[in-house]
Amino acid sequence: MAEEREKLVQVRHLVQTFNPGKKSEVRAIQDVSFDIYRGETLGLVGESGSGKTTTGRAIIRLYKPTSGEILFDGNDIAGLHNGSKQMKEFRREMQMIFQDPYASLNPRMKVKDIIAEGIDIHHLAKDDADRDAQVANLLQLVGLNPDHATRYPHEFSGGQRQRIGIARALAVQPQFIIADEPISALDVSIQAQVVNLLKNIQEQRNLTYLFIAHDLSMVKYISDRIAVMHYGRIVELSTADEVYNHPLHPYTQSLLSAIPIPDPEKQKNA
Amino acid sequence: MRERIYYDASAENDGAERSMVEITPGHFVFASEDEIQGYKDQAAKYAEAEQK
Repeated sequence: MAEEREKLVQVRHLVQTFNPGKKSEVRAIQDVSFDIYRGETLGLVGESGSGKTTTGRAIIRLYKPTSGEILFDGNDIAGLHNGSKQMKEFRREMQMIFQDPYASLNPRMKVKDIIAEGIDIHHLAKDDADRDAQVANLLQLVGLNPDHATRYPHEFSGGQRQRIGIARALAVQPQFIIADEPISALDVSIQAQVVNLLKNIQEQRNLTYLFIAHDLSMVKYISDRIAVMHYGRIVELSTADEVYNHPLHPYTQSLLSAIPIPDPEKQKNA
Repeated sequence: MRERIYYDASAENDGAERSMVEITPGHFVFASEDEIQGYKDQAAKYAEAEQK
């Protein structure tokens, strides 16, 4: 049972408000609490603007939370300061895969330098040969040809670029990865390949994922548990099967009723 | 026949306090005191339908 497993991430009463006190104030996350167990995948779903991405970015500390606690492996990271030693150590443990594989890779850098950026920052390579070997291993791990390490991002397709983004995230050997809609910008034919790659790597490296998406059917496939977000709050949280087959909150029922059914007869009657 | 369900978010503006409540083991729903029994009844219906 998930409840008996070790909690890797604990989010407690997280609030994220942008421009507080101003006319343009946005309460993006309103008192959100949940746990992520070591080795599991928690899917975070909801429509655009529901606060999924903000939750992920607050957890990885791209934003400074307005209030609340974020415990990672028992340590509160909500109050860490950018540039501090603790923040640098924490950044190695948690990595992010971004939605847009076209915008998230520096077009002026070679693939090997993009992937090795974290290796360099955390001094994880003994010398240049070790650095190149680590990059080659990572490229192989994500299904790319190591000989392509000297190419630039524009020379790759969208699916290949997302694989580069995954290799970059894995380079510092993190425990926890936040995947923010990692397949939304990819062709449908490529989406399953990338999701299966993420699943395989999770098994090999005992990784924990927060998988953010708006496509409930894909989230069900990869997630152990699913949290449904609406207007900055989690409205339902349970195992993937429970949320999918026995939804209780009317918003979850609404989301599920909007999933296209790949059956022409049912489609005709809809 | 497939039925599209529309969610009226204004239902949440009734002034009632809501929090995450465990309706069945491990299944949490954001609910007010008045809504809890309705969710428990619905969970019971799901369980009943599975047994049949």
